[in-house]
Amino acid sequence: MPPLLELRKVTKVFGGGYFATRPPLTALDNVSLSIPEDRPSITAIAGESGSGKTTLARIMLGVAGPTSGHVFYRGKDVSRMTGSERRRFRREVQPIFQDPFESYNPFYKVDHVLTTPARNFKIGRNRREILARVEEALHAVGLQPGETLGRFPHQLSGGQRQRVMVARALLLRPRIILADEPVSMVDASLRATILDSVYKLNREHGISILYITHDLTTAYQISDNIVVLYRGSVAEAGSVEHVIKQPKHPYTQLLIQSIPRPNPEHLWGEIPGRGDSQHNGAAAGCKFADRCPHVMTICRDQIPGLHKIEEHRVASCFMYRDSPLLADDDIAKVFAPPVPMATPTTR
Amino acid sequence: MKTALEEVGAAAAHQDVATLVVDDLRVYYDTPEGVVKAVDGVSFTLKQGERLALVGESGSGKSTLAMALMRLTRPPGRIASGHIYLSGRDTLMLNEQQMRRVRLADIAMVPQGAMNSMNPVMRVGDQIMDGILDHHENGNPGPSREDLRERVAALLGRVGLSPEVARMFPHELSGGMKQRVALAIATSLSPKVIVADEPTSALDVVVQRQIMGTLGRLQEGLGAAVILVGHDMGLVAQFADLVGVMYAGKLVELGPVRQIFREPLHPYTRLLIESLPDLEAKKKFVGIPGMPPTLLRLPPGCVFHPRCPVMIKGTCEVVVPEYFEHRKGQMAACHLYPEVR
Repeated sequence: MPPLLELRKVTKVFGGGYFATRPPLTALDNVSLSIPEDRPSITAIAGESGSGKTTLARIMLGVAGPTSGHVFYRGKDVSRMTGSERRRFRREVQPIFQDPFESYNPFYKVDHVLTTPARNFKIGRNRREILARVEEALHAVGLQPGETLGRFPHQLSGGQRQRVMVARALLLRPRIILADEPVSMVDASLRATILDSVYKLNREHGISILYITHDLTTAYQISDNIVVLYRGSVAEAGSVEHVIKQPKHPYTQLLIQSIPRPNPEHLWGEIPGRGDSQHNGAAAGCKFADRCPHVMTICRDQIPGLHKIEEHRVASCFMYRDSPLLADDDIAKVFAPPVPMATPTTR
Repeated sequence: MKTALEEVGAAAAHQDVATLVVDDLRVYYDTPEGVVKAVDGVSFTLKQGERLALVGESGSGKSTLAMALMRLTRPPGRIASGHIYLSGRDTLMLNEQQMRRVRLADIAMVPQGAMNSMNPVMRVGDQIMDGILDHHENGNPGPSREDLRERVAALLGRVGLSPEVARMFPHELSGGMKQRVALAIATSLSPKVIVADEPTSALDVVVQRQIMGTLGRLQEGLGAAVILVGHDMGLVAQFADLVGVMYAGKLVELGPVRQIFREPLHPYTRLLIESLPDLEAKKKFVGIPGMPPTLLRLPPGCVFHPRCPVMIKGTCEVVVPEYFEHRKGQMAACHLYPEVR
């Protein structure tokens, strides 16, 4: 069985060409990742701004094409789909965007974002069936249809608006949801509720989630596996218990150390190395070399491959060059199986 | 050297010479639907060198409070009543001309999203000079061009930037560098109070940590007090000495950072801290039930009672709780803690 969604050696370059004033920027550099069909899981794609995480999401959604490499959905190349295949892809791969304000047209009631896709994809045969499905989806994300439908976006809180967006994605019964920073613009007290509904989409409705974020704390809380991107390349990937609890790549280590812990007893230390990542595209070798506290000569000349350090972890770093290289670069090969929902997630 | 406050001749009306005393401050917005009490009776005192973090959900009034401290409240907002004593002098008694001299020199702001607070067609150095020169009006000859250039270089050096940055335009800088320039501008006249409104909200964690480190060092060097406005409890835990928790325009709890995280008094503070995800262990997602109230129709009694898990029936929905010191240095407005005298 082919994977549900697969990126094979995807590279995306912006700029360049005859009239370019700046050197081209490689936003995504030879990334391979597959989402299996049989095992719905939550995968975090993490990185700072400029790491390529949003480019990755856009390519997976099919709204941007790769410069080289391929995207496959159910074994079909997304760029060569027939009309009906594309339609299925559009329904089964759903996005949730960052900004719960810009996703709405302020002149329409919130019903509009729910009923329009429901009609387009013929979710119900008539108005009543569609309404029933809409209400079901709202209930699933913890909203009361009576308090949500018939209102304008500005009459709902940011948290409610974002949950309506989760409901919209769920409504179309997708197989995969790409959530791009779904809680970064929502207040801390409401984040938990939204993450909880995203978590339930996976564990209760069997939808695979790609959680794209810069926030490693929430990534740790909801994901099974994580891919840490640095300037378009995979720095480290594997189970969150490995990558976040015991990071091996110097970049992941720097990120984890820099997280402000909500605990005044556990204070930040001094800052090692340089902070800003510079896009000096021409540099050979490891992209992290100029910031790395463990930099070696080899790091300046050669690009590190993905070394499989443990069963459920790869890191792209010469410190681990004694470990075997990952065959055909598909990082999903080291992903840990999702842990079944052991404890109820809500109070 | 006289401070700008002394120059404008503001009378010392308050005996307490704490750096900043905010006394029963109220900021209202007049809207067609009625008066919105965005800041409703907030009081606190800040000593020299102290770091206070004001936290709360969006709409809790924390940014409105920050703007009022700078006296930059714009219509339909207005400062309805209260006092803001800066080194003992009430800034609310100053006229606009006088306040202009106090801003930057005595109380300065690091704006939210510094990337958008700079003039895109003006060199960084000129933007730093702008504030310095503006405070040399009124016949003062002001520093020479050469002096100014040296001062700008020194200010840039203090925030970890090289002197060449002075000749650059904002679009040539990274987000972190722009935030550093904003810090250089805010501290250019050695203010006594620095108001930082979410100074790192758009930055990556590694850069955020460096910027907060720089802000901390600058503040310690100047002996200034800092008010950090934000909702990132992680940043608050790392940076602040004191934490003030705002809810629906009111300060519901204020205390030393360790006390607030270890033994919060107010149920809202407790829920806020419990809702934070951490890296220690995977845990249940616990949000705060309900929603923040609309400021136009505040619930009677305690504003938090509709969402409060430990609401006392017959009291909380009727009586507005008084704001008292319940433990040493830890204030809260909650009926759970009967007033002890």
